Amino acid sequence: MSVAIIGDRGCGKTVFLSLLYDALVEYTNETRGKIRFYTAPEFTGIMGEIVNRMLMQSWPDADLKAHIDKYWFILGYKRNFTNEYRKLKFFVYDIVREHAGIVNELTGTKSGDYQGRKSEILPSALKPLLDCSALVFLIDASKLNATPTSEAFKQVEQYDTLIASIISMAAEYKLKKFHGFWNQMRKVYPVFVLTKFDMIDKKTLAAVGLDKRTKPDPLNASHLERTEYSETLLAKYYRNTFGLKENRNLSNVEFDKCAYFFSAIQTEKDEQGQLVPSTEKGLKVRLRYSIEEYRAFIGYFEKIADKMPDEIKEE
Amino acid sequence: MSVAIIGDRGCGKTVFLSLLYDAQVEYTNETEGKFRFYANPGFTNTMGEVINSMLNQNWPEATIKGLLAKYWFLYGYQNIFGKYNCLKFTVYDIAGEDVNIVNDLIALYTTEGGIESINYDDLPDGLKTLLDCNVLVFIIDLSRINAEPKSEEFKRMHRYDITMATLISLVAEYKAKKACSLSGEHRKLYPVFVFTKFDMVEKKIFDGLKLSPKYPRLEKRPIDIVGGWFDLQSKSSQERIRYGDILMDAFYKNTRGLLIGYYSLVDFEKSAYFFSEIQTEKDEDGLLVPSIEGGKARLKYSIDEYKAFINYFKEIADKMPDEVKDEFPYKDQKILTKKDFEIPVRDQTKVQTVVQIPVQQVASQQQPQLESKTPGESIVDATQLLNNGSIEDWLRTIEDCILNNKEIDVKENSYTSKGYRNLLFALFKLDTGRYTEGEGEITGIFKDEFTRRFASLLYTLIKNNKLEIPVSTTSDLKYFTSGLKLITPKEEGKPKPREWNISARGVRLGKIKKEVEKREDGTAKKIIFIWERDTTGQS
Repeated sequence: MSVAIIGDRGCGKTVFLSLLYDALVEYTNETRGKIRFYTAPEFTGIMGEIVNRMLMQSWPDADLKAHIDKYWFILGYKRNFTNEYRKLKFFVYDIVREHAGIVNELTGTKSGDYQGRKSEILPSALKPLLDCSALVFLIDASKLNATPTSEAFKQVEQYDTLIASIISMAAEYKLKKFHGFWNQMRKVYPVFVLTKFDMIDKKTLAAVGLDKRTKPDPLNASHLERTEYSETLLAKYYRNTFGLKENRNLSNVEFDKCAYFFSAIQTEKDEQGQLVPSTEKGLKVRLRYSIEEYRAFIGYFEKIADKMPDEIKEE
Repeated sequence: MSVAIIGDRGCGKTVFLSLLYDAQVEYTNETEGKFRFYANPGFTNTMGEVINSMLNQNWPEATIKGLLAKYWFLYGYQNIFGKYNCLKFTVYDIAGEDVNIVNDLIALYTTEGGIESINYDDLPDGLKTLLDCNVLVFIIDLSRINAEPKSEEFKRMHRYDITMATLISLVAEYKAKKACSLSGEHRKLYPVFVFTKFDMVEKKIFDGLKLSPKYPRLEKRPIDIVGGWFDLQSKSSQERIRYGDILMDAFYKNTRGLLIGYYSLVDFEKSAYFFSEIQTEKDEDGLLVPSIEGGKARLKYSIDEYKAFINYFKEIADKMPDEVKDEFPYKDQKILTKKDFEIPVRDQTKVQTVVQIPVQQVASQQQPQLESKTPGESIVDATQLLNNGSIEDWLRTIEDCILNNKEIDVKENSYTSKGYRNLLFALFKLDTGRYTEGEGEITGIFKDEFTRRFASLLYTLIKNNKLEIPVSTTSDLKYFTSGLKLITPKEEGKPKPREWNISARGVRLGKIKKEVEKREDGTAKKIIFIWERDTTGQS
């Protein structure tokens, strides 16, 4: 089963992926073999180096970021009472503006014009997206801006349209590809990760009435609470995406069960007054980030892997 | 089943290998021929020199270290049929920024067509041997876990963690893809970790991890008919694994995570851990030097750990030997025994602080020529210059190399030559300000580690008139003092110098003074070298 991680330029993809790598290492060490991961050996070095640079309190350099677009990894969850693992392969997609234009054009076309040919016309880099059973969208929370005239707001609108287009296109593609198959095979699971959540504008939260509420954490809050909190925030800025919920044609998209995660990294000012990653000053030097959210993210995909039929899992 | 011993810069590789050598000599004697070993006679000599140096309470000279990068040795364990199961050990130096082996391997994987398209026979020998290995022994400098966050040592510790993880995944990947026809045991990887400088770990670390400052010792058992010595299945053995796992979890989590969670067709055996520590005492500068057992001329170190290390490989050799021989190969080779190394402690008449490897004497009085092997080739053959090159010859050569992007290949066995001494003087005289990229442009032309590192430290000193070396970075200290010794040989019987007068051809270039910053307990914290340039031009 494949999972696509989709992000706009500058959405915090590199930091998200490296923190996910760090959390995976920690999680693996703690669970002692219940979860396994694999990536091409060159990425082991790259991801480790990115985490290292953050431990040295500097953000990842461009030379390392350049490799991220090709990054992929496999997660394996151990089945109970066996030595088998349910596998999920994660790919990273850097959505560039040109792609957005094509996707929007395709989805905006009246039915019939491109009927059946949409996947052929799609840029080759985006084609594998359609085969994915889960789509992880990275949303830069620092860009959620309450001022509709700002540049950040416009970028959010564009990205919103793009996400909505990708979800509907993937849903349509799956429906055709698995026509007549078991319903579960046609499912698409959307996942939203709000990156840079530590940098969200207080006015943004106030605008949706969330300024007085604390973010429901994954250990204590229910799925419903987290969904309600996230959708209250995103519905205002991602109207097109959440408008799809009302669209009955997308019945194979499990919107009710879509998941939300929050990525935040604690920062502090360096000697030049710039914000740099903060580290725990204990015996073990660790980054301070929302590790529980990352663990919840890893745990969520175990549930999806459980639900998927074997034909999809072994793809 | 081949074994790779991997270590990075300053991890204690030289001391580990020499103590292993010492322990294997003793183990051979105890097991009465059931265990045998062989190393190239050149290396046997080098190991002897290192042990001699430590018996004289000096750490091994930096000039030796380059030789160890090509070190290999053979172990033979007699099986119940009287034959020898042999294992070959090869040493790899994965130095800090020069992670060439890892980069070379990654290049193989990212080649178009991937690893499957690579012709094994076309690979360089070093890579072939490494990819063939089923046992990866990583030497980990445990003193680095004391490092302050953001310090250079801390950075090194984390980088090494990633390097280990990457290397394991590369070898595993190779075995999964290229060796798929082999049986399960041949595709298995055995990770072994040797924690060196265990004695230098601070107490607060053990307290923080809720670990005893003493690692669990292995239980001994009587030597059986095949020479077994330690019970590797005992309760204490399991406790050692737990102890090592906790240390790895805390400080080398990427490597540990990879060994537990790597999703691969290759199986990983449980990690094995060994602990190396050597008892030390303070010298007159407060620097810690090896301690000697009174009267016996023996080093005080964790010899049982080394024997357990040798013992561990017996089990692997029994399962999957490199080859099985009726007789141990090289049986006629003289194997040195402990007696060969026993010399009176602090007998100054026998002190040899520099490896005395004869340098070929090429009697040529011609003006030394810069010899590129073929036009356009970028490595300069400096044999002639190393024999009798003058300071001016070296200055010209260095200038030419910088301008034409060439490298100078200094052979490890030429450090005691007159020509090499003149090269070191030339480094003092060179005007580094002339080069746009500064001193890095100069140090980069030297292919050998020793000259490159000495030059780098020297230019830090000259540029800032001061060079501070924390004692935790023992290898930097050794590289620098070894270089100074080559220029100003120590007079026998005199105490360790506190200043060095640098004079070339009778002209004084300057003076280097040494100061020691000490901790409260009297041990050295930092060695500070101060450069006083001589501007008088006096002879």
